[in-house]
Amino acid sequence: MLNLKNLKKSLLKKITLIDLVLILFGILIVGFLLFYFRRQRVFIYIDLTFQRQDWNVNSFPPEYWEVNKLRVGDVGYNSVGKKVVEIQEIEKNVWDGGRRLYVEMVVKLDAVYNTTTRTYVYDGNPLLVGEELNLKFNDTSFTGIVVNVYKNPEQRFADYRRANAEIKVHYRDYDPWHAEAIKNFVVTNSKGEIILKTKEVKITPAEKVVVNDRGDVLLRWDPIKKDITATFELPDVLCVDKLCYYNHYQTFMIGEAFWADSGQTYVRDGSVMSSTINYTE
Amino acid sequence: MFHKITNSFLSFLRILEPESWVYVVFILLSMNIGTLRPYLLAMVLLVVVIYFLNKELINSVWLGFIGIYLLRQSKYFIKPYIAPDNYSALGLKQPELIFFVAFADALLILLLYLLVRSRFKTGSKPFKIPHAFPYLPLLLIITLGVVSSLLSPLPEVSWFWLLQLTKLFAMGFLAMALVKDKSLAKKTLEIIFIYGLFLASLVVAQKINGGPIGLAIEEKYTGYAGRFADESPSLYRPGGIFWDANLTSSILIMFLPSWFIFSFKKVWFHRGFMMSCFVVGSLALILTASRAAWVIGAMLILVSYQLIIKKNKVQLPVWLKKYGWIILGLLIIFLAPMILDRLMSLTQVFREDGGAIYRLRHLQMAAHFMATRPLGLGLNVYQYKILDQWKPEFYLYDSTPAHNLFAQVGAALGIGGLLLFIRFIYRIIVQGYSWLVSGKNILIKGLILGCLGYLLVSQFYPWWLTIPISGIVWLLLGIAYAQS
Repeated sequence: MLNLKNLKKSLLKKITLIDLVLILFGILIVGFLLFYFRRQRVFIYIDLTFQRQDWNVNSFPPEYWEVNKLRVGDVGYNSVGKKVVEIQEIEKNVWDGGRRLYVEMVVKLDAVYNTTTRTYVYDGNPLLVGEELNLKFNDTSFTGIVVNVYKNPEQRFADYRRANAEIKVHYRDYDPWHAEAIKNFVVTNSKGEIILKTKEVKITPAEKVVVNDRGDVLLRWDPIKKDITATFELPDVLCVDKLCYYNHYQTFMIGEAFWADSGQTYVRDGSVMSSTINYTE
Repeated sequence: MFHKITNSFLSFLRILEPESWVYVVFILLSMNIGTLRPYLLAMVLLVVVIYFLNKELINSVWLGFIGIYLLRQSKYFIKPYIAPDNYSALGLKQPELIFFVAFADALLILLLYLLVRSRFKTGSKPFKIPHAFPYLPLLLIITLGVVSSLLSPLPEVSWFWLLQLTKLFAMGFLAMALVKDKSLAKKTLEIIFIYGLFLASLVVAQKINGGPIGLAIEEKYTGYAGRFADESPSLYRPGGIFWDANLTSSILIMFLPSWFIFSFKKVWFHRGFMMSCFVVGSLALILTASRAAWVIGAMLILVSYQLIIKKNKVQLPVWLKKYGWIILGLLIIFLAPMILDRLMSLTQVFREDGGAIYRLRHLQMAAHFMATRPLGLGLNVYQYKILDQWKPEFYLYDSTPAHNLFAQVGAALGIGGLLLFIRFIYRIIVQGYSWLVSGKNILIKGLILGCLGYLLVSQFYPWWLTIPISGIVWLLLGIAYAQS
């Protein structure tokens, strides 16, 4: 029978403290190699939007100078000089007259798949929808929230149905030149694709409700300001469950305010009077 | 006249070993270096000058490694881990900074290379394992660490800290292998004690200044040296080169027994040097205002007195016999306001949001992890995973490692790892007790009392893997076994 005490004694005679140190590091290295080769290196795509300044309040988008630094093709490198991140697409939407920009981008990452937690990990951070992620591109640092994680670009909108929509919106109290500009109102995305186009515009003197000195409530018409009833075509909207989104973030339910910026002019406030949705897939 | 000056200067120089003086110069010159390249140059110079003094490459690298490791400087490859989930959403902007390689690690690798080469040249004789040392639990702990890291929800974090744990064990083994002869043991301990004296002096200077005094070493990795007391916001608690004054005080209590013993015993170290360390160290311990460390420090000094000073019939110096009470009285008057303040605020510790409840909840959460994950969460993953399972009110909005040594080990390595760790600690305690009560080597007694201080203070703070206190305990333990 194996005598454990004798075995230990003979081992103690042969093994030195230096051997023990080597054994310790040996166990560590073997374990780490097992971990390292079990991990799968993958290219993963994520959609990233700007970081909310306060988690429970709608916060402001980032200022224009930060967002305008980011361009399609911008890359970032890890500490050994390997390219690990690249911007594939970037959508910027005007807010506050262009002083701030809503931003959403598609980023390709050199990540690893953690087979234990079954999550993708980039630079030690699990890539989970809703998590904050900091990325560095050339000379720009951007911290955003992960909105979507997918392996192929085709899977980007897998949870959504595509549709086109036509909406009629009533805007009140516009200056005449602003109302005229809406006739040729066209919004394009960063690829130049039209995402909103004016189909029809009806401009009328702005309705005013006044109260006379007898207390009667009367309808009158402003001699300068105009009301606009505009019909917009939205060629590509994304729908999930009962909701459809124009430009990835804005819904257009009846009664809701609808706003859009073309870069040259904008429509804001108003009220959606009707909407028609035709699913294309 | 000239002869007298020369003689007194030479006798002053004899207080410390030449290598220790080099380390003193290194600390004084490097404490204001804030950038890495000049620091690297200073470090290389330190090793080279020590080598020219003792002509032993392995010993020089060892002493250089100890000195650099303790100062915790010159970390490079900074990798910030943004804590997952709601960590930042809670406003806790404290991403854990993970440092992959430090200059001290470069010296450790060089040392290992030299030792492996020497082992194959000279055979196994010089590096025998002390037969009483329980090395098997340590090998099994690392093996369990590998398993828990493989299964960890945050494997990168766990692997990094497993590497640190392996380094700690390796430091203990290297101390056992190298510090067998008296000369190197003395030099190694002198370097450790000089570091302790520097830390204590800095604490005193910071307290007098009412804040950091503006050295690069204070600011580089701490942001602010010291902190203000939770329950008494106006009380500044200096931390030396650390943000956390509790860490400083915990390190100091590990040195106090040795400083105390050798203040009155004329062996090993210069008594004047030891007494200076003891006086400045005790004052610094009080100024850090760490309640747990105070109590444990006082207890260790009492034990040192009872077991060593009294037993060895050490005669106190005449001046201490004559003026001891006056010195003690002045010290009490000088420190009374601060001590009273900290004692009065002790009642707040037991409030619903106080430190006692907070620590009990850490135990509760660690027990939950041990029950639900028998193989452990992985090393230092606990502070991230509590965010997933408990509301921030429960852990008082402070997601930190468990404030208890056993809870830390249990959550990281699971029940098996905890049992192995307890087995290891038990063997050390049994051995340490026999050294304390029956051994003759008072150096070992001082070191083992320092380790006991670490064990006690770690019941209140998360010092299992914290640099450099975790390294210091392994060094003291290694030297104690080497000298046994």
